Amino acid sequence: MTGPARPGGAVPALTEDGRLVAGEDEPRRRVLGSLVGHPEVDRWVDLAVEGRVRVRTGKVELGQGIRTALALLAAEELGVDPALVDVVPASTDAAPDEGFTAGSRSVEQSGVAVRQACAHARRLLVERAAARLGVPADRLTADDGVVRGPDGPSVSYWELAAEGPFHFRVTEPAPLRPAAEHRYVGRGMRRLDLAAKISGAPAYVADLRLPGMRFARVVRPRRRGARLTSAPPATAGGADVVCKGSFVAVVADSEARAASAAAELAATLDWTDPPPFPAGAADPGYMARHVVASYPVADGIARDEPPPPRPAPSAGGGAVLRARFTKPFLLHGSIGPSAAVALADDGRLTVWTHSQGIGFLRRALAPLVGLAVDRITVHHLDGAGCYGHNGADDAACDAALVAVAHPGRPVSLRWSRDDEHGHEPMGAAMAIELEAGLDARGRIATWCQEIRTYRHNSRPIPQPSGTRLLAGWSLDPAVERSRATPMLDFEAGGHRNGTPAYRLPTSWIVKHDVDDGTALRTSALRGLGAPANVFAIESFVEELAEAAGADPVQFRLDHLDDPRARAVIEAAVEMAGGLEAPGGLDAPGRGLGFAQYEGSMTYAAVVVELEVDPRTAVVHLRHAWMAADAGEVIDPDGLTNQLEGGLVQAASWALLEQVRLDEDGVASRDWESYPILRFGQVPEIETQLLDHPGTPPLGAGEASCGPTVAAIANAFYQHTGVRVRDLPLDPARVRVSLDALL
Amino acid sequence: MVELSVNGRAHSVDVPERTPLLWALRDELGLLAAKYGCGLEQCGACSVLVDGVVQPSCRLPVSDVAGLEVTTLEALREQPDGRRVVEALVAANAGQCGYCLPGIAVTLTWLVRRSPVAWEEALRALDDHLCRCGSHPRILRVARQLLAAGSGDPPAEPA
Repeated sequence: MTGPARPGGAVPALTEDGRLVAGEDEPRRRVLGSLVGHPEVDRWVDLAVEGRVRVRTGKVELGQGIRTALALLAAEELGVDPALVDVVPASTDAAPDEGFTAGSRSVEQSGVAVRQACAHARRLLVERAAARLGVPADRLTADDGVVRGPDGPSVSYWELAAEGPFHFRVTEPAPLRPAAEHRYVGRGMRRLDLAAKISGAPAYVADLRLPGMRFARVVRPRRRGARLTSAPPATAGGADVVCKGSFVAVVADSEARAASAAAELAATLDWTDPPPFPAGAADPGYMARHVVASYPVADGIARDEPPPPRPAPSAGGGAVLRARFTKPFLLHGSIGPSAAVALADDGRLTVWTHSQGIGFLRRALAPLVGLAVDRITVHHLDGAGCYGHNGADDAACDAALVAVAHPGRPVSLRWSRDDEHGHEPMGAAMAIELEAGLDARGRIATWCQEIRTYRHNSRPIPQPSGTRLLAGWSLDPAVERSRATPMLDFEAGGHRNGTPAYRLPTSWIVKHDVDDGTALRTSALRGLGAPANVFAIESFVEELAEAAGADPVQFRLDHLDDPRARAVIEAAVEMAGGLEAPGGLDAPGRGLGFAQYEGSMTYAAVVVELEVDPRTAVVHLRHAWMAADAGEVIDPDGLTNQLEGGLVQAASWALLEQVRLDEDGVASRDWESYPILRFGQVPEIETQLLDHPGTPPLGAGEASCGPTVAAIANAFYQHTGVRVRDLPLDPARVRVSLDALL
Repeated sequence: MVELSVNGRAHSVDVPERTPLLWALRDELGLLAAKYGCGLEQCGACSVLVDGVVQPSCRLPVSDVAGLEVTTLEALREQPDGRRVVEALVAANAGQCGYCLPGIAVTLTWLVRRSPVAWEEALRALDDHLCRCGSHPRILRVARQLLAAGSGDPPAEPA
């Protein structure tokens, strides 16, 4: 099969990572996006301000450029210059609730909705103009903010909009402008938000300044889960101390004072000595001992039922191979630690946050601050890139707790670097065991895959009991920790891209859900389980190709029917000029990685060329060639930026990153103990977009990650002859591999 | 009181002497272009010029810069070379979240002012900055353009 079919039947809903649960109205969602659920045109677009178009979205800017993409789509469908479009930052007061901004779904959900809302708005403007000008609607054109008749009479959009709101609910798609007429879509533009950010203008939540603002920091115990043994002083280092149970913060009149007071107070507090943190939690043996449930995966869905009998691997009669691949815990590693501003006043709470899900955060905050949900407003303001569920929501909760304790003045709370590295929810460690048998012709006959994974989602969606917001667990009485739940939906969590795209006569895929019940916390990091699964699958496919005596590219193509999958592989290999680097015996290594993200979204193939310095055991990436098919290309520059950014981040994971744990918790507390890729380590990248106008535009923020990790592992093998199955390929591991060759 | 000279103006700031320059800029002078990233001189988000030399400001005590001229991106972006750097980054959409870029813009301006500089040296200066979004390829392209234009002699492509 060429990728699992989407199932039908279930009630449509947003999953925890912002995806749509497939349901009966999925075809409507494909053409209407988030208009399903929020059908009023006025909710999405208005022309209330002369000369401007205001677009509202529930999706938030995370650095992915969504505001710019939405402005492009609105401008195209309405027929106005993109510079006239204002995309309003999301707020629980005004924006359509679109759940989480996650999973590369913003264009599919909000983009499609904005596009359709604007297409309907244009149609409605034309209808109004027809009545006003006395000209049949089909003889009018709408462009450049003006509706024109055939003989010259015209009327501006804003004159027509002054007649009042549209009061129109979208149930059917309006015709979109044909691709041949596009003036903005497919061409790209300057990001609307980047000029302010690059020039250092206040643009982030930590730059927000309000009259009377105070600044706060949290004071944490050395060992995760410790509780205060005695009350802290009321003031410390010139700051007021906020203490609720074992949640301790300082609030001062400057950020400098807050930071120094936090350090001063930390040195004086006494904490309990909780059980040691599981320092060996990333060990595959430890993970195997803490499996709490196993789910068979079929058609991309994990099912809550006993796995079927495991097929015999030798059924095909050919060679049988086995291998285990591991991925360590990773940090999101935002360059700007999490921050938030909160103001409690007159029984109301207002929060400014860079959370990915402001509506969920609002509901999760309510019980912790003792306010009804409708007394809380949450505004999104940009933060540094998060790449998933990092400390953003927790920092917002921290700020809210401090604000409620000190009402009347806004509180800007910021996590320190130590807080961010030490307390953000980590990307889940995984261990993937593969076993496959070939048939007599050298094709894959049987495929068995066991995915052991910590959970990939502890976003703060409101729970029947307990909370997922960090500070809640420290309150007195403590609000119970609501643990992450295993994700079973289509291509969710640890089984994302756990189903190979290759034709497999017999496949048996089981997801083992790991939860050790400790203070360890994991949540969504770019791609969830996909990068590890793609790393494992694409490495193992090359091992099988070698066992079959086949060329690794041809072996893949021989197992792929989907022409779009084949096309990206062929394009990437052609861009690289083949998988053999010139240079003979001392040539750099080249490797390929391919995946269709979630088996249903963007296709990406990456070829990487690398060399290993035998003296330092450092892997140097030389080149990367990428081909991607994200359906219709809305913003080629933005798409390339996302794909290349994903490639660079994944290269950093593959080569450098792993969280060190000790008995207190995360031991990697800065950029020296958790290094990431630097400028001098980034390869030359060439990217080719295979445009498919007329097909749905697909998100791509996560599509290049898995293929990149796999391509690096495969290139390393070609270069050294050593198959590395445990990430990262850092100098320590590479040294061991090279020594094994001697 | 600590006497500071920032962006050509003298300021008396009422902070302890060991206060990091970054906080004096943000808290006392309202200059928000320099960002807090790590407080450990590891990421470069807080970069400023001190007597014309790029430096992280997050651990630099204000007392150490008394008598020296501190220049932040707020001033650089009003000057021709700083403006050229910012405009080149903006024109290339050379970022995603943008948080690291004010610091990088300071370093690029510093490099442009010193050009011609060897590409290896430029790369070492950029290596003092972390970017998590993976915008490096674009930032490197812009750096190459800027330094080529500054020296009249295009730097060699990096290996």
